[in-house]
Amino acid sequence: MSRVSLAAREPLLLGAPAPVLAAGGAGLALVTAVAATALGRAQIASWPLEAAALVVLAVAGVAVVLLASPFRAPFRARSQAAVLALVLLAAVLDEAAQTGRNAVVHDDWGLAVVPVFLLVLATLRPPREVLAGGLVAVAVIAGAVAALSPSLLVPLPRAARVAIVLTEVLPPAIAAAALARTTMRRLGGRRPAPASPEADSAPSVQQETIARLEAAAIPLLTAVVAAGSVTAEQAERARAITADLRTALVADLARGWLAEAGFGVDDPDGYAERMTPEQRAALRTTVASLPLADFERPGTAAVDGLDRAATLRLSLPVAARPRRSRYAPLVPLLRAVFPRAELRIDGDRVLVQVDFAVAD
Amino acid sequence: MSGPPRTARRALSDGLRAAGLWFGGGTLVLAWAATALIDGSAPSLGLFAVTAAVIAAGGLLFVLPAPRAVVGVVVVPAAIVVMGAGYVATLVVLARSAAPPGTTAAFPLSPVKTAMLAFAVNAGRRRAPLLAGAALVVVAEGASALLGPALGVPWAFDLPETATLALIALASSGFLIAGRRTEQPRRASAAAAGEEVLVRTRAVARSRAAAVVHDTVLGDLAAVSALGAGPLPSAAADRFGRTLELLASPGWALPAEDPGAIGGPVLAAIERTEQDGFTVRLDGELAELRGLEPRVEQALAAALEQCLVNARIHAGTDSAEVTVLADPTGLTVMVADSGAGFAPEEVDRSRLGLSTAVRARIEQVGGTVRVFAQPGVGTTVLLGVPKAVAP
Repeated sequence: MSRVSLAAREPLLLGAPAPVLAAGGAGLALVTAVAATALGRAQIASWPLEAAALVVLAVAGVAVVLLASPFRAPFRARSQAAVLALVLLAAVLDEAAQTGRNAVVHDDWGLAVVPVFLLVLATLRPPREVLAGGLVAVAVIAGAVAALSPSLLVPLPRAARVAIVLTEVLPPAIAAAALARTTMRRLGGRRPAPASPEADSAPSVQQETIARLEAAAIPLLTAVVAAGSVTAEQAERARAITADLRTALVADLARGWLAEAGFGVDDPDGYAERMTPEQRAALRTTVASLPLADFERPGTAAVDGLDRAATLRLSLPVAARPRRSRYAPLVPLLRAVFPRAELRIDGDRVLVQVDFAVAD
Repeated sequence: MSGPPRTARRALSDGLRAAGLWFGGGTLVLAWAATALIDGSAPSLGLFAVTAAVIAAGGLLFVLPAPRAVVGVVVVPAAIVVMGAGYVATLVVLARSAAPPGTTAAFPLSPVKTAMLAFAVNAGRRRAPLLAGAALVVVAEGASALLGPALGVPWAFDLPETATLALIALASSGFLIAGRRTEQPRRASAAAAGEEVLVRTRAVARSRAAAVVHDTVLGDLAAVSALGAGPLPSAAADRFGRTLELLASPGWALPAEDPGAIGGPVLAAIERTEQDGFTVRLDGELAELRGLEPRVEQALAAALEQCLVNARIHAGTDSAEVTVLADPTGLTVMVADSGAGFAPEEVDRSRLGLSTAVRARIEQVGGTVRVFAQPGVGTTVLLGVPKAVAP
C-alpha cells in the first residue's frame, strides 16, 4: 500500500479540494450534531457533557480547517491523530451525556459525524493510515456505545448495539480507505506525458548560433574565401573572434535551466542543475501560475549551498498582487517535492524559497 | 492488479466508484446482519436479504459500462427506479417483521437509504451524483410518507440521510471549486513537463552546435590567424568553403522532432531508469551519440541501462552521472555513482550482471568495459565503443 497521500501525489487535483472539504465537512458535522441534539433533546441526561461534546466537536472542526490549510501542507500523521482524537472524544462525550436516557443508538450524532471526518481525511493521509484511523474510530465508538448505552428505550443486546455502530461507521471507514487506495493504485507509475518540444516556442539553437556567427565569423571567412588571401588585419581579427566565440560557447554550455527560463541566476556551484525533474517542474509550474510582470524575464534566482544542502530563492516581480486562493495550491505542490518550501508576497513581488538536497 | 496508469481524474473516478460500492454494499450487509441480531425471524430476514439485493443491483447499474449519452437518460433513471422499488419492498418487509422500525428514519431503514445514496456517488461526473442522490431522497421519503403510516411506521425526518446527501453535495462542490482554483496551475504543470523536454532537447542541440562550431569555425579562424597575411592555400580555402556550406545547410544543429530520438536509444534508455526518485546527470559530448552505427548505439543503450539499473538497485544511491567523451574513433561513456560500491575481486564473475548484460553486449560490437569499484566509495564503469562495428 502506498505511503504517499493523494494530496501529496497529485497536489493540484486531489490535494486542492482538501481545504474546501475540511471547512465544509466541519460545518456539516457541527450542524448535524446540533440538529441531532435538538431532535433528540429528550435523551440528554447531562447538558454540561453534551455542551462539552459540541464544543470539542467545534474544536475538531477548527483544527481540521487549520491543519488542512495549504499553507501548512503537508498534513501530517500527528494532525490526523489530533483531529480524530478530538472527534472521537466528542462522540464519546455525546454518548456519556445520554447515559441512562438514550432511547436508540442510531440517532446518536457521533455515528454521523465520525464518517464525515473520515471521508474528509481520506485524501490527506496515505491509504494505510486512512484505514487504520477508520478502524480505530470504529473501535472507539463501538466501545463507547457498548459501555455507555446499556439502557435503551427498546432494550437491545450489546452485540446488536455494536452491530448498529458497525453499520453506521465501518462502511464509510472502509470507503475512505478504498477511495485513497484505489485512486493511488490507478495512478500507479503515471508520469506526466512528455510534450513534444515546439520548434517555434523559442528561437532554435541553430538560429541562435548562426546569428552569433553571422556577426563576425561568417563574414570574415566569406571575405577570406572570396579574396583568396588573408590580410594582417583579418588574421588579427580572427584571433579576437576566436577568443570571443570560445567564451560564448563555454557560457552557452554552462547555461542552466533557470537561465534558460529567463532568470537572472546566481548559482556559482550549479546546485540548481542538480534538482530532480519533479522539483524543476514544480518550480516551473509555480512561476507560470503567477501574474508575472514580465514572463520573458520572470525574476532572479539565487542559490546558497553547503555540501549537499542548498536553498533556492526566487524573487518574482508580479504585475498584480495575486489572490491568496490563487497561490495557495502552489504551496502543497512545492512541498510535495521539496522538504521545505515557502511562498510569500512582499510588496510587488512573490518570494519563493525552497530547500533541497543534491547528490554528491 | 493495479491496471494501467491513468489520468488523475480517471483515477479519482475509479477511487470514488470503489468508495461508493464499499460504502453502499457494506452498509446493506451490516444493516442486514444487525437486523438479524435484533430480530432473528428467518422469513423476514430472508425477504430483507432479497430486497437489499435488489437495492444493491440498482446500485450496480451505475457502474455498468455504458455510452455516456445513455447514462443520464437511461442508466441513472433505471437505477433510481430499481433502488426505489427495493426500498419500498424493504419498507414493507420490515414493517411486517416481528420488530418493525419505530419510524421511517429508524434503524435499519435509515442505513438502507444511506446505502442508496452511497451508490449514487457513481451516477456520473460533476453534479450528477448530487442530482441522483436528491432524486433517491425524494423517492425514498415520498414512499416513506405515503406507505409508512399505512404500514404502521410513521414518517420521520431522517437526519443521517440528509447529512449523507449534504456530504455528496460537499464532495461535488469541493472538487468543482478546487478544480476551478487550480485550473491555471494545472495547465502550467502540463506545460512544465513539456518545457523539461524542451530544455533537455535544447541542451543536446547546444552541445551539438558547440561541437560543430568547435570543429569547423573555430578551427578555421585559428587557421586564418595562424596563416597571417598572404595568399590562402587551396586546402584551407576548400575547408573554409565546406564550413560555410555546412552552416548554410538546414538542421545541422536542430534537435530531432521526436524527443525520444534525441541522442537515439541511449537517452531513451537513461530516461527509462529515472524513476522512484533516481536521477541521472548527463554531461559531456552528448551530440556525438548521434554518430554511432545503429548496432553500436543499441548495444551501448542496453549496457548503459543495465549499469544505471545496477546503480539504482544495488548502490543505494538516488543519482548517477553519465559522461560522454568522444575521440576520433569512438566514444567512452562513463557511468559513475557514489553509492555502496563493491569489491570486484570478491564477486563471482559469472554472477555479475556486468558480465552478461554489459560486457557481452559491448564486446560484441568491438568495445571494452572497465569497472572501478570500491566498497563504500562508489562504482565507475567505463564503456568504450567504436563508432561503427569493424567489418
